[in-house]
Amino acid sequence: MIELRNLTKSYLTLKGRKYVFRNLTFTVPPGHNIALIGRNGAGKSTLMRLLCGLDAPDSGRIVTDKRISWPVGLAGGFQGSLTGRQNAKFVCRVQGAEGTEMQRRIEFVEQFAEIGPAFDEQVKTYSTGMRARVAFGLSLAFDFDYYLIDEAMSVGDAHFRDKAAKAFKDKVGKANVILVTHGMGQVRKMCDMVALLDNGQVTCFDNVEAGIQAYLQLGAASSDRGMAPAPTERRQEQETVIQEETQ
Amino acid sequence: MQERNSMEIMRSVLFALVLREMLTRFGARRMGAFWMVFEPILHVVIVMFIFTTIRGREVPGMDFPLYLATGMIPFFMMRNIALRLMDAISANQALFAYQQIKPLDTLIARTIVEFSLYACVYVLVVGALGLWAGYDISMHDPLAWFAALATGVVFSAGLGLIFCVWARAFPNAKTFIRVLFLPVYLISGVIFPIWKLPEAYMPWLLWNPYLHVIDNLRSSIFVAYPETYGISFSYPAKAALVVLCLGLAMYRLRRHDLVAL
Repeated sequence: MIELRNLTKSYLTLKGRKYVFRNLTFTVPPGHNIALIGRNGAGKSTLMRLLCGLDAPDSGRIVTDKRISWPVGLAGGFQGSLTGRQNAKFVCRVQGAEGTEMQRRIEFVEQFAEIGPAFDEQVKTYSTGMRARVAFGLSLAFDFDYYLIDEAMSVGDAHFRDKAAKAFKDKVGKANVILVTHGMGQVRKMCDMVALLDNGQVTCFDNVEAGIQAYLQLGAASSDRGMAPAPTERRQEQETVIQEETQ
Repeated sequence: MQERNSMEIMRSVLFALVLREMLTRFGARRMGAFWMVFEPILHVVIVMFIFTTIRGREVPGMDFPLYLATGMIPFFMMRNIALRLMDAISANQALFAYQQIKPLDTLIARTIVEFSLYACVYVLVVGALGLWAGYDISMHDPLAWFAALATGVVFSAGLGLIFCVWARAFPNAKTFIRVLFLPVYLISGVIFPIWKLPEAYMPWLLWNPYLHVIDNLRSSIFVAYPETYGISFSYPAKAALVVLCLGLAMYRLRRHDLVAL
């Protein structure tokens, strides 16, 4: 279970302090593949960074007994002058996989990435897609309870995207994903629950279609009024909520 | 995978970081391993050449090349520890996505790397001076030498920690700190003996812990090393302790800001 307790996060901008979340309390329902959607600037990536420990909240806590991955497909941690294999080994060592354990995981990454001999070339010679392949394989080489995917699936060619989606399908029952995306096709394909982030509040939808509808309504509502929609209450009953939005 | 306790995690993180840092330095340019060791050696040799051959400097009772090497290499090590620690966190920012890696780990790893690197350089240079140039390289008080060196390393690491947290808040400070090390180099008695400095300035110069460290290093190597009034083992040790505690306190206060991009 992942529990957010009274989470407040703000950033200092040129125009003063801007709050992304104020006293956000929310429990991530266990055993679901969750799509985190919301408009640009709603705080999706901030929430993601908080979940994987890349950033610390101003106040409040995130309580969990689950193993949460680093952002899947994160290639920023790669050292350009080292080879793909050396970078992969580094991550293995950090995660505590040594000896045959490491060998097994490196082999997995090499096979998953499918970049052939380039695996032993310096990472700085890689294309963005190649980097993503190695990074993706590296995330999948380790077992987590939750994989955090932040738009990472949008890189790579169609073949690779299918492969990645399939890899997560194989982990069903053992692991869940939290997916941040603007692609509704991906949401439908991979998730069975939608968490809509708006105005610093999270609303959960058990019905994926309902969640997507609510998200699309948000966009329509704000462009009609030419401003951000009024703060919405935390809602459980998605049907009524959609009616409220449309009225 | 099995659960690991904090010590095991830190151990494997440090091991991974040290390897990565070393490999990066090796692989950064062609013949990286050679340049990594040769560059500091070249620096020492050039300064040695200028002072011994061109200026004909001598220090009574000591071999001047040995005198220079025993001061310069430890000083470069301490300077590099402080300066490279300053950049440690910004250079490894992306790694904090792996939750096992904490900012402090990158600082410790860099200290280990610098220390090992300069230990190799020291052994090579002093070894060469002993083997080929025929100087007497025996140490007259090895324990005191290690104590002095440890003090210097801890002081530099603490200083680097402070710089690191400070430069995080004020990135412009980095340039200033780098420039600052040149005068420190000159007033630490690295390239000329401190007893040649004017007596009147000594009370001021003695504030500099590096002066003590360098002098302690040499006095534990050379038998006939002249004692200078005011030089002690305890002052740099106290300074190191204060600096390290201050650095750790600053780190503790700002640890969340250090992680965030």
